[in-house]
Amino acid sequence: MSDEILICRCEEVTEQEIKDAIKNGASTVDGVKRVTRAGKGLCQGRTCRCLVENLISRETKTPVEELEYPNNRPPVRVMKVKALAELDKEDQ
Amino acid sequence: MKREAEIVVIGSGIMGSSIAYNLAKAGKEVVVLEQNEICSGTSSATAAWLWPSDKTPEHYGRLAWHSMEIYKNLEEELGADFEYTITGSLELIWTEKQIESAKKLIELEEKLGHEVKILTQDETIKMEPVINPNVLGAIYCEEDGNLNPFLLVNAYIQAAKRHGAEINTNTKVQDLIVKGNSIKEIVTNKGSIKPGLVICAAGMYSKELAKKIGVDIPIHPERGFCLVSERLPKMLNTTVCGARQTASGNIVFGFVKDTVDSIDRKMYSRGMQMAANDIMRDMPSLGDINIIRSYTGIRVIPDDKFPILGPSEIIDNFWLSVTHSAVVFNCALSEIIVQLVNGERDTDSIPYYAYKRFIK
Ligand SMILES: Cc1cc2nc3c(=O)[nH]c(=O)nc-3n(C[C@H](O)[C@H](O)[C@H](O)COP(=O)(O)OP(=O)(O)OC[C@H]3O[C@@H](n4cnc5c(N)ncnc54)[C@H](O)[C@@H]3O)c2cc1C
Ligand code: FES
Repeated sequence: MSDEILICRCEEVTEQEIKDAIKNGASTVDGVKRVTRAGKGLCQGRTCRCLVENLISRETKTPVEELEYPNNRPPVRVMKVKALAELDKEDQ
Repeated sequence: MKREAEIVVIGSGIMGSSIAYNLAKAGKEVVVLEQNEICSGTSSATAAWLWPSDKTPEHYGRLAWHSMEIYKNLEEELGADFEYTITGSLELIWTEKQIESAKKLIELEEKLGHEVKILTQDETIKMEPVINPNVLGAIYCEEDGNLNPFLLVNAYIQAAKRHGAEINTNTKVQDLIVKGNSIKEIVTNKGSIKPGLVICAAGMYSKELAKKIGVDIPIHPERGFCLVSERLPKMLNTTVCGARQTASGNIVFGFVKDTVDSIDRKMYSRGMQMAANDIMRDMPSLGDINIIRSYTGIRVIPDDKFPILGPSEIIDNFWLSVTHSAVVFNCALSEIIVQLVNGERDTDSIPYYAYKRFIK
């Protein structure tokens, strides 16, 4: 049944897919993200990151505190291309 | 982790994974050492275009096209989908000077048996309606495309394992112990291993690693900034020099080149803004789409731009595999490595790529 459970809603990644990635060697949130896309969605992992961390922790028997903290990838909130192009004008 | 192995590959980016797979398939005992997770270096921050049609001069172009031949059956061979797709490519033309160099490229490609064309303004907009209508035209090649680098590396790694390779992640090479003229021991945070042959595919970290044992690799870093859009309906038909749309619908933008003197992968707001400015120039109609993520990657550029492949000459069992454009070239380069290992060819057959070229 657990393969039916959605961990990352944005990218529709199931618990089983994440477990498979961990079995194949992924041991961090970023590692899982690279192979499954969990965390690459519109919310950029705000919803699923903790769930992924808990899964890694359980499967690899590592306390959550000891897992490598994932890289933050700006922008923190979605931004339009237009707005990003204007960034320099704000700097000046 | 094994304590001894015929061949130890340092790094599990596109190059390390490709080499590990091809050597394991050829029956060699292979151990991979990766300091982080697989595909966590430059290969995780690439644009991932398969763009053989702009590789010059002739020998480099031939190498690129040979790699593309190998790609044709690679998904089947590896038993995995890595979103390999041939879309055709567009490089926008903004200046007359570009037209002149395009003409030379067309001549070269014709000689290599591939068609590169100059499209008019109308033809360009028809092929790719999101392009700025003020563009002069575009250079087009039907045979270029792109792929998903994470899936490619993962496919290589899983296939390498099936052929008996041992993959060690979170295993950082800390030291190389040399006695006489060869590496006797590789020291990692997970203990030591005695290598027969060591192949360094550590990307941007190769220079520092090789320096420890007196090998100077003439490469320099160049930073790139990329932006990723939200998932979108199909908007791009081709791989545009600056943008590709993935199988999931996200558009990955980025062609920014920034010469730097360090291998720092932090994102700067200036980087995001440069990339966004490029989009506004090339595809202004995409100004309203949402960007959900950005990333920085370090391109490793050999000083003479060509791959550095095979024996380091200075240390007997220390080989190199350091290159730019590994997405394109890895298949051909791994094939050469296997042939060198098997003694089926020597470095005289790769005068432009062997380390020997740097020894006066
Ligand atoms: C923005 C950008 C766009 C690009 N676009 C394209 C493109 O469109 N087409 C193309 O063909 N190429 C492109 N490239 C280039 C391409 O991405 C690289 O050539 C390729 O990723 C290099 O792969 P690699 O395996 O040599 O290095 P990497 O992917 O960097 O792999 C090296 C690995 O070695 C590991 N490592 C390093 N030191 C150690 C150590 N001491 N112990 C253990 N492990 C170690 C690292 O963790 C890393 O995983 C682009 C690059 C950038 C930055
Ligand atoms: S739920 Fe995973 S990215 Fe949004």
